[in-house]
Amino acid sequence: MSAQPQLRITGGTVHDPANGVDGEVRDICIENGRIVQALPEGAPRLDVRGMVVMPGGVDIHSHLASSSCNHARRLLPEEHAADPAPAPSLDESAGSPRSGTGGTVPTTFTTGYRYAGLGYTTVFEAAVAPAMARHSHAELDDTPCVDGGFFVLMGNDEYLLRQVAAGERERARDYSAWLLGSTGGYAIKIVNPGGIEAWKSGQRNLNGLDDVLAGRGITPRAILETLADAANALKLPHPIHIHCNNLGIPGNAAVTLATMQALAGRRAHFTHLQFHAYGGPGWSSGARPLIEYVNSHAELSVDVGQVMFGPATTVTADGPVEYLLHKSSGRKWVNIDIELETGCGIVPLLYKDKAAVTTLQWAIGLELFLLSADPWRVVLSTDHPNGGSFLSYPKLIQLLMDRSARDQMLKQVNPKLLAGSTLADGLAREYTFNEIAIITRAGPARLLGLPHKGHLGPGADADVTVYARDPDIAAMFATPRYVVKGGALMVEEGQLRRAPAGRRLHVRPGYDDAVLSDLRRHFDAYSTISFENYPVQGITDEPIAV
Amino acid sequence: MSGLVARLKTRLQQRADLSEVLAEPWTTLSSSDMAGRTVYLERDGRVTLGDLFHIEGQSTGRIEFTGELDLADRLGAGLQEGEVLVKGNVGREAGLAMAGGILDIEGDAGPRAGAAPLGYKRGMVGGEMIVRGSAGAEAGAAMRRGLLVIGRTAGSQTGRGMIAGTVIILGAAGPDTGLWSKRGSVVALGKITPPETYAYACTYQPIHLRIILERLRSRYRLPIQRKHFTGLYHRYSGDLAELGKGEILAWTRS
Amino acid sequence: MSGTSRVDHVTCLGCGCGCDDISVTVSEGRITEVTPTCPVGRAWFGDGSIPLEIQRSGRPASLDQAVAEAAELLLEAQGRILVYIGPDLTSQAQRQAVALADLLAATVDSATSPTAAGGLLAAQQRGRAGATLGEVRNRADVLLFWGMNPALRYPRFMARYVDPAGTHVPEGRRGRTLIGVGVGSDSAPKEVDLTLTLDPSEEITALSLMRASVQGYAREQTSPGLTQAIAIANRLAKARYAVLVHDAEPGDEPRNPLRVEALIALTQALNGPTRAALISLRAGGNRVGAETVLTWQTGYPFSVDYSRGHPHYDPAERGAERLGSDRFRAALVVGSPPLDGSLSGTLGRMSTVAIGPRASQAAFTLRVAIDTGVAGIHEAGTAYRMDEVPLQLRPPLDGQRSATEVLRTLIGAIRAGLGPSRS
Repeated sequence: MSAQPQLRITGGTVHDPANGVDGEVRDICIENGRIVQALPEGAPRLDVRGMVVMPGGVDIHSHLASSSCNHARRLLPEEHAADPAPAPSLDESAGSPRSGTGGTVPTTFTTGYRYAGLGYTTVFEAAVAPAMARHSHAELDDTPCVDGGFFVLMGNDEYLLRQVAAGERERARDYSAWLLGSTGGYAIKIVNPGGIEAWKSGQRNLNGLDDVLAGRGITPRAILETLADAANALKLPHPIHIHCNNLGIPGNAAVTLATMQALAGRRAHFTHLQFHAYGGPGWSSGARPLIEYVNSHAELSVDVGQVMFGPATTVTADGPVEYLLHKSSGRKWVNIDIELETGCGIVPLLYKDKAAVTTLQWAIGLELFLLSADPWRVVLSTDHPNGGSFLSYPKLIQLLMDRSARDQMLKQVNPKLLAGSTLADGLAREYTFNEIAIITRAGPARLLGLPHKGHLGPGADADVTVYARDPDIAAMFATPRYVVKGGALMVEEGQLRRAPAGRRLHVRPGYDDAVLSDLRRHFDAYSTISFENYPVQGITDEPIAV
Repeated sequence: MSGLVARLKTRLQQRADLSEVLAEPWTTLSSSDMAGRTVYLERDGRVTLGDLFHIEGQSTGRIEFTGELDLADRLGAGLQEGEVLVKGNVGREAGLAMAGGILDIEGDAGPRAGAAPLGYKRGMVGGEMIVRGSAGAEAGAAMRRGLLVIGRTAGSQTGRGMIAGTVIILGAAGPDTGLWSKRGSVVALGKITPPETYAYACTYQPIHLRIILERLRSRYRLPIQRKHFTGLYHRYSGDLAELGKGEILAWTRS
Repeated sequence: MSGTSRVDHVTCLGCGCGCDDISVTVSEGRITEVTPTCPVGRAWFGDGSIPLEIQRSGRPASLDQAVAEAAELLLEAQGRILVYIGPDLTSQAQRQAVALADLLAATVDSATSPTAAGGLLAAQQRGRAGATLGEVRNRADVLLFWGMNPALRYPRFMARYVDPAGTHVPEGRRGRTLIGVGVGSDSAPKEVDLTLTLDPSEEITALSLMRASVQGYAREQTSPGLTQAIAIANRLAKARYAVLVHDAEPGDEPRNPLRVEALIALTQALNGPTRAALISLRAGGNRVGAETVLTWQTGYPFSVDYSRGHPHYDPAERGAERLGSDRFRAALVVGSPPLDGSLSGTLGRMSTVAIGPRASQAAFTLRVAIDTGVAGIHEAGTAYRMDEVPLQLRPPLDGQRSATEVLRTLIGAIRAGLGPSRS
């Protein structure tokens, strides 16, 4: 269709950190949707002299395509009305463009167009209840321009908890493999291990790693160990993706650090670390000890979950935290308990720079970025739309690359809780283009185990973003001049011209069939969905090799 | 008078949605720029304000609408600034979620004046809205801030789910007025029956009310009687199903 | 098709319960048996026979002719079209229908009933505390049925979600306390442990007082009904997991439109002292799927107007209610045509295209009618249960025209007719 068979992107300054290319002028050759070593002289050229060339962006953690997102969408008519999104004018042959609405949780088509407009070409939905997987696939089908997949919620799953309680680690491993394959998911997601089940069963929450789920003898530690071992044993491309206990609570850095220590050498990704990096007992920064621990443990990675000032919508499986947010903010609140699996909570929020706690959250996020020693393991995210929309990434990049912009912001914000913050003391570091290319592309692609993403070497998917230099870094990253996905020129001269369908990224790990008969009994006893009807059908893209 | 005047050209034959006319800043617009603002007709779709109204005068931060506007909906919706005078009745949802300025309606307003758009959390968030006639149901529903005055009778569920702000009703208040308020004040000079989930607190002479009523008399020439300035008011607090931080002040006697 | 065969794990869309444990026996191409039995489900499946006509102005036509005529008619009326999503469509077909509405700058509305729409609006304003149906079965130890008896329109609700044992309620029905509150003629189930009947004039006051009581405000009531309502609220607050159930669909009598908001707010408040969820019972035919699809494609669950060049929400004046206002020059009905008298009367007076099950038998005159199969009986895909759990459809019959495919073909014809600007 719109993919040109050949294209030479010529004359740009290339940042391709995965291949050791840091700001060299060189050509990027594309053939049949892949990067190739060379093209014949006569191949079509795209002259990008003076511009900055990077691989397409890779979002490791976003909430864009799930039943929870759809509940959030429905909750926000005022945001949609304020941000209408007419259909883009696509190239004639590029299919029907769709109109939609925006706000912090845009409609699916608009989400795809806006990601493309930012130069992102791969996005992962970070939290899908297995029973709702079919829904996420449908939303992803209607989210053009990006390749995508999703992480499957397992940390409060009834069948899994039973295996943990019984010490049946092999069965837990086989179950998680079956669940990933049945849902068409990509990785194991753990949200507030055991805490959502505690919320649903009246215990309200689990606050410590060794708190016991009442009457069941299960601890967050046991859940984490079981699933970390399962992911490693299954050789999943991405390790367990952890949202720790106690999100948003002062003093939670202690449980976050304990969780890192508990995993003792196992691979793990800690998501939206900012929300788990609060000192205690009052509000203070707990960023430094956490990021230093990460710096010295190569098996760990994080994404930051930066808070950006402005509107946000908190959407999470972590039901108990949303109840607390609702009570403290007075904002509207959705809670949906999802049978046998997980929860869902939603509260829209406004992060104000005049609010002391919000400012502290903002500062902690920046501390994590600026104190990180290895950009390959500290990924850029806002936990969209929880810390702010993905549309705020360019502003975040500016804060990282431009100390004066940061200092300017520091003058505006409420400094009440910033005492002791290393940010307030003046962190001089400024990210380079290469480091930005790592934390927005090369790093997340590597952490996700996607060998064809996040780089521009031969064989890689031809996902390329070209930025026109601008002293205003935020403006530069907000409006790439060209974006190519799978060889298709999506953005031309800053305008979205093509919106190809994305590819589904999923895994289908093997497992011992012995788990199935026990699982069927569990379904027959407690599920309202037939075992036979549970697995998602009809995913046409091949699974990623495990 | 000074300011812009918008005269309806011919009687409206279909409902007209004026929600986009005054939602963006308008007080410095020329008459021709104002004429270019969008109106959505129920049947014929998008037209301009100038298609329906003759617009004359100089912009001074005031605009007057004249003509039979019973079918004109959402006039003054989202209003942020300036003074809007309506010489007659208006349709539904006048001053919907308005944020500032003054919307002064000489006649009656249809349902949901100054309310939240359906499904929205917040209604009026600022400004002053005067309905000199009667208001339909749910006026000031989910109001967050500002002042809404209803000259004659108020429909059912006036001020339902108020988050804050003030509603003053000179005539009789409809059933369920003040239902599910979190905060804010409903002042009833005429008849009112507070919901069961309001608790009677006391009978007193609210001094602050005199100041507001005096302002309504002097600024808007509203016919407020002596007895309402000096009289006694029952104070009910509620709605206890919500935060319970709102009040109904019901005039009781001189 | 000949011989007898049985298809298991079929999903029934007769009501919103979405039971997917149905076995359907097919003999000589006809459905002969449906188990477990349920009157609503049995009626919905019927014998599976449906017409397979294609008509232009009442006369037989080829699919190509019918699609061409529909495309021409819709293109002429661009910007002034109502797309009405009726029941019995897969979500795949619903997605095509909304795409068509976007393409044609149409208004799109659905079979979402006025009472259900009121519930959606209240939940937009306040949020809500809900759960999927399995949580009722696995956790609910106290259930309150408000102004409704599921036996009539949701016959298997009790058998699937209340009677059986759950993970946290091993005794099943015996481990649960059932409370029924009748409101006027809206009666509660018979098999409850505690009942109360309220006069409709007391209903909202009762729900407000219940909520006030849950939040710690207690006041003596003179009415015995209100006193008992408060006692029920206190029982709910002492539950381990309370479930409140109401019928979101209209009843025989008009009901207080504030009921649903009052129930939403009460359920949210109950999550202070305990855990609680509100279950809104919904009709079948994948009506909930239409709301779900509309939400992800437009941001709004019903009554969306594309004529402004982007989705515009107009819940106060729903497209289907504005049919008589000359707003629309043409209508496209997808799914089963509406039976409602006034709606079908208006549809018959305008240029209407119907694509869906039994389109050719619509109670109104059509310019174009294209019969398709019924989602879940003849057409595979996805449908949403009342709690928005997406279910696989495993149709026991095949060989019928697919609504999704017809809509795709129509989109192709309309794109060709629109030319390059918006195709």
